[in-house]
Amino acid sequence: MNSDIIRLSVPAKPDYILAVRLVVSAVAERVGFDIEDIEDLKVASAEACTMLLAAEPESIELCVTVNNGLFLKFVAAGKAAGVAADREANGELSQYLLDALVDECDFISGGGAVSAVTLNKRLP
Amino acid sequence: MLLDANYDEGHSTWDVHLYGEVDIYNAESLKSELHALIDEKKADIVLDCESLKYIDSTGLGVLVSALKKVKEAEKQISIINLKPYIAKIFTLTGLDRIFAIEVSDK
Repeated sequence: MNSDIIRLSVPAKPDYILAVRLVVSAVAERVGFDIEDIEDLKVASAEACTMLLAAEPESIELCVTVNNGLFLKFVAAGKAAGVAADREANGELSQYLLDALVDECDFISGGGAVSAVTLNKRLP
Repeated sequence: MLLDANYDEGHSTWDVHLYGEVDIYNAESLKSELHALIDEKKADIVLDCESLKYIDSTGLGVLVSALKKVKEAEKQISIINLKPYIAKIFTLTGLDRIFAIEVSDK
């Protein structure tokens, strides 16, 4: 069976992280996650975006793959992506949360900053 | 506005109600508002989160920053009416050990 794929691109500004959360929560609800898992996915998505914003890219590209749960890939795109910038003081909190809220998470680094984050959360 | 605050003369506390969603977009604004309260009067803060729908690590960072500031005056922040799914975020990050937290049963 082919997986459904949803793509979203937002300017890399704090203003649009809400849009990312809304898309992820809407798809998660449709796939069948319960309220608690949807809240986990909303927080995890925001944390992934926050990590990417530290690299000061032009945009954040999100690809959601529906396949017995959700596989989310967040990529920092644009000229400054991968260039080290001042990291958020609470980047460690972001990592704790990502590790705890999804089944698997992975970080791709380039130039000292995180340039992509993948999250996998399976349906129970 | 993310909060409204009243000083309770009887209990010598700031009663603060948090609203809506706190994320990287508005965390700095919340930090300014909380720090302004603390600068106005050094007192314990009771943070009522009944209407708080969402908070992420940037919001947690703001609360930790406010806690550090009140602790300099030997005061405390307690958090009440926290929704269970938000309380989970505090537990996962270990912040339930530094804030006095009361979880809502709603």
